[in-house]
Amino acid sequence: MIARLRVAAFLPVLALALPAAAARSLTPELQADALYEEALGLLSEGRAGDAASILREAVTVSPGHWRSHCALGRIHAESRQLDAAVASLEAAVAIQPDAACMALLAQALLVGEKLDRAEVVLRRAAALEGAGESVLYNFARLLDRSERFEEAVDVWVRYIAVATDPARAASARLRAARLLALLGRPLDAVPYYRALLAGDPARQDVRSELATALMRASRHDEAWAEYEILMASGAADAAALSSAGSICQLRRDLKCAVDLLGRSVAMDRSSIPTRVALAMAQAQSGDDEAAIGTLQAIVADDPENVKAWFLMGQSLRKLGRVEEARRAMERHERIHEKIMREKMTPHPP
Amino acid sequence: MILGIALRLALAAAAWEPSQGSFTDVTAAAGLSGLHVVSGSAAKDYILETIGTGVAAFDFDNDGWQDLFFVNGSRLEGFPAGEAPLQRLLRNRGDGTFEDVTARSGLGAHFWGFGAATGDYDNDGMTDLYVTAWGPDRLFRNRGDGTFADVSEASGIRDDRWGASAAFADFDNDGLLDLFIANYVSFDTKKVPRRADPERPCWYRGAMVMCGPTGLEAEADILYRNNGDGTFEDVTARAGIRTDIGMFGLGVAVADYDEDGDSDIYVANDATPNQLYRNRGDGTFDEVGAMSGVAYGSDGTEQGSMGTAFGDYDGDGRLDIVVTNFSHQSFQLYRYAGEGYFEDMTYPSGLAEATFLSLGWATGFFDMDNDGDLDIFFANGHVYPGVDAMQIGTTYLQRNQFMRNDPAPSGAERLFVDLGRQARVAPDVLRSYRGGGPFDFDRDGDLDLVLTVMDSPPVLLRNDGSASGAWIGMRPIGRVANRSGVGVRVAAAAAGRRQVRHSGGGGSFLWSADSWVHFGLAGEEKADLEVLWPGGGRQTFRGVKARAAYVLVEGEPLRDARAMRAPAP
Repeated sequence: MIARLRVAAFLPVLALALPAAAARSLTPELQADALYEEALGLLSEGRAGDAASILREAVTVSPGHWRSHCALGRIHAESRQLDAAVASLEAAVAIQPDAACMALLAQALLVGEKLDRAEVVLRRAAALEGAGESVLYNFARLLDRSERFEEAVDVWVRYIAVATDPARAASARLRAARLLALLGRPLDAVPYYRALLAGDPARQDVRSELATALMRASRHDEAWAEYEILMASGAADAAALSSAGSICQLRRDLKCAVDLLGRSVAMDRSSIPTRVALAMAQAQSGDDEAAIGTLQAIVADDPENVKAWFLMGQSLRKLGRVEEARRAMERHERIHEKIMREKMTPHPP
Repeated sequence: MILGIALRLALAAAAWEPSQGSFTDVTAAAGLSGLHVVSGSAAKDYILETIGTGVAAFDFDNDGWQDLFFVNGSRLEGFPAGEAPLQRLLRNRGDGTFEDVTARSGLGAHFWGFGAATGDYDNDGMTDLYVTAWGPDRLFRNRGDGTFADVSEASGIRDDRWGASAAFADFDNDGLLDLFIANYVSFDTKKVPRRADPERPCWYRGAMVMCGPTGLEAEADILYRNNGDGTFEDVTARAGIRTDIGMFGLGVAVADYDEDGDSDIYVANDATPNQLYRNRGDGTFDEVGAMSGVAYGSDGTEQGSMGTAFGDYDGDGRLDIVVTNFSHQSFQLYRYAGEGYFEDMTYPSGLAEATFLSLGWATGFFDMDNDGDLDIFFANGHVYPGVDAMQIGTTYLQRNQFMRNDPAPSGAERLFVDLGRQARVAPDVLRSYRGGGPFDFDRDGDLDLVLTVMDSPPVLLRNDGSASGAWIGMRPIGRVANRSGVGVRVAAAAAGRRQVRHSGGGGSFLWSADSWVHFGLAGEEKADLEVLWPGGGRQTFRGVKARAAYVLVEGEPLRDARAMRAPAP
């Protein structure tokens, strides 16, 4: 009783002037309000069980009292009574589509692996103006997990704009960047990679992804700047060295191209395209003997490599080894003809 | 008197200095800005709508000024009566403007045209016109009175494949122009899916785009031999032109690259290897593209090639090849090293980096600054209107590129410098350019450019930047050789420097022009000329005065072209 009187101090003005017993003589809504406030007080004292009883009383008195339904749902959720939580929260949002309550409902449904129902709730909540960060976070994750990446990335971007948790925001930025890159929007990914690096310049894995995105967007100068940092820090892997080497090649810096492509191949011999690029750079820099050596090793591993046979024919020809060049080109033509015949089929292939 | 001496001294002191050329857009002033061409829908749902239309520069009325014929397209849904776009002929008035003479010329037909080839196939002194099309191509005979007759049926021309570029040249050296046509795709809306067809979508880098050419049926190219009686015979298979597997032909250039006295053919193919047909000397050919090193890109794979041209860019007297390609492939430059072999100079010449993001069509070697070496132009524009959203560094609308031929820092090679990155040499307007080429429309001694633009009026760029450089221009006219002078090769020697130019037939993309040999001579005011005619005729001219255009008639002295009416046949 003492507690009830104390809680009544927080009731609306009309109820404030009355003891709880008197409040019960008011309209059901006012009664429920009073009970709700009383329950909040109990909750603040850690008496969740008592609070739940009061809230049940409140929704009995006034079934439309959505705040009590919502508070009851929260208590159930916290005590892992998921079905009860969902029932109360669904009752609440059916009456009033409150963002916080919907967030709770979605959370309960997600924990209960009721993903379809969770998505319906999250979609409604996310559509509300000022949707909370937990709604956006959960919705983005749900879409991401179900591989609806186009929609997921939009929600991640919304989440990043309101995120208050730095760690979670960072992981969301990385996820958004990766999804954007995956979706063929490398330029859109770049600001997220850059934001991450601004907070943590030592993340060379992120820098490597940024450089890859820049390469895909044909921003070679910017990509080169990132590769230079990666190489200086010793964090450039074979793929990074290969890409950096291809930039050198395009810029006619063949010494640089041969060096970087060679280092890439030394690090990972399995990349045939990098080995072919190395042979090209060797030939362009005038070292056809080295190119032929590289190409012979490629065709030993991959006898049908059409590019390698072509380049070998060109280098042999330059060295005046005409008959060997002719044989290499014939080999190239045979392989290429086969590829062409397979490719030149009526649409659809 | 004193003023006169001072003026002469001042002129003598005004020695030639290299310039980088500059072009002025005179489209509107020339009266061409109202000329709209059509090429299907703006969305470009089908490949048919994407390659655009071409233009030919030829002096149809023999008044000494090159006129313009613009090919027009169509659209799949057709047009209301009276609104269909027509092929257009514009007469060069000689005062910097053009007059639309389509109606009285008889060329104002409506069909979906693409490219044009010009040449005097009947050696009657008047230049005739061949137009490629989706559907039957057309051959128009120039009657000599300003009108043309459609002789497609009577001439035996029966090519109803989708033709792109075409070239007149005398492949069997019989003094008659034969005809080669680069055909593209077998296109039928019943078979080819529309862009974004949900059941048969076609993708490019994650976006739905129009389908083709890969996956579609290619059309075989065709070679017609001129019978000399106004008719042509299809000799494609007999001549060794490949018919067993079609390639997606778009560009064609003709030249005697191996200097054995006959015309060879280079075909730029989209998404399939390019082909080099070496003439055996009798109008039959061996396809030697792969063995010669000009079939593939630098890495040995086929490219999306569009336009091509021959020219001696490095001044060694041999004809080299340039090819425009799809974006992210770079345009190719092949230097002829002799003995049937071309060396890939794409990377060393600087073209690889400069053109990596460009999607090129028309191209040509031309001495834009009259400094004595061949520069290159590229007309660019993408095929996918939605490419900007793909975030791959390229755009639908692109700028043209003017590549100045400079010595490489090593001195051993030539380096092409993209002037667009250094200075403004031409109005830097982004468009989706397609066909066209160089010609001296105002006869002032430097080469201007006309370019077509997808679904828009063409662009006429007047060359205003090479005024100080000396030059010699010549229009060849054969007597024993074909009258159009196709296949003539001229060497000019001045101050110890030798240049070779040719007039081969075809070249660029959806483009044709009268045979015209142009030398930039920098500061030299005279040159010695050696002329080699197709068929073997030779002529030599000593101390030919520069800053003049000549008519070069086989076996006759050079004559001043100021009154450049062609002599009677």
